[in-house]
Amino acid sequence: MILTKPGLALALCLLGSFTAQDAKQELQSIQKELDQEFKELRKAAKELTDEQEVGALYEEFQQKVLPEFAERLAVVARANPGTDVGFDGWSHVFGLASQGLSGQLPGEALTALTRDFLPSEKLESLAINLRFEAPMVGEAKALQALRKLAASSPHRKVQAAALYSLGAVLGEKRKPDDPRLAEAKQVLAQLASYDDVKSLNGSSYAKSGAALIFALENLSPGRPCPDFNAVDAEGAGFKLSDYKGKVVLIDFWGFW
Amino acid sequence: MLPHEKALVKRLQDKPFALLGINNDGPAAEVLAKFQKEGITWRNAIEPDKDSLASKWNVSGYPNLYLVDAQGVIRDHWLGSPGDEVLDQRIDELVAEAQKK
Repeated sequence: MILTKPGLALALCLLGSFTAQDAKQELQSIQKELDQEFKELRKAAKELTDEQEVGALYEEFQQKVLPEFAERLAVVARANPGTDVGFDGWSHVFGLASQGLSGQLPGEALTALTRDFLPSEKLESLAINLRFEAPMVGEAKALQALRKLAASSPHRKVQAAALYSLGAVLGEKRKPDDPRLAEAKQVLAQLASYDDVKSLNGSSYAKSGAALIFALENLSPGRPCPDFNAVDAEGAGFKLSDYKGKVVLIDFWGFW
Repeated sequence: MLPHEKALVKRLQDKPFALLGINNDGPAAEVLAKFQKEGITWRNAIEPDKDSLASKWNVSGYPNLYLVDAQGVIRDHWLGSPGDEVLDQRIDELVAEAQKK
């Protein structure tokens, strides 16, 4: 794999004279270069048969290539606070966390996005994704950002997405007596007034919030599995409790 | 997942173990045809209605797996497969536990 070394110093010198159009082009050219790096990574990985070698390849990519590109994106984003370029740059940096970017940059991106773009409805996807990216940016940072979005975004869809993610991050994988679980349920109860806002799976946030409360209360490891009635492919009815005495793997799945 | 599930069902056919699928793909007749084509023999609840168990249990992605022990207690939950090895190991542990009693 070819690792291109950026003319970072040169880019920094030039930044002062950038117009908005230049900044946009600079951002796009970094993004294009990064796409190319990802393509080469996948191609190189395909040529390897040994799983450990593939793992080492990805690790090297995450430790060397990603931080370098994230820093270049951050340089452009920092120089253009509160603009579309700033938004796209920070969003890209934050998105790299799910590709394995570690260090301070995802956290800095999160801080900038929730500080400079609080009035924007574009923060909806950030509010949704933070549920999954909390481990990468650190739980405390994620919770802080979600609380801010829930309390201060002017958009109901951003508020609802933030409340839902906040409930999930606070409540998932907690022991029954953990105070964070109680807080999660309080937060999710606020979603009852969001029956006009649709969530990702197409139902309302009021419904999704209630379903998450049910899941947090009843579906955590260590609790008795709630019984259910079902009809199988042949049309025969059955219950989970028919299987008492057997270990059961319940698999929600589909063909695709 | 499918090849591993087929192997799992075959390997544990005489043990206290069951794989229960909850399939949300669509009308029962179409899903049944796919099952026959793919050789899926284990029991599946057919859920063409989105407002169903998946919705009640807040299933937000697939595969979504719950491992329940012989006493009916949830022991593991995975959103996305944890990998064939982990699955095999956890199921074997619980099956051994069930056989001791």
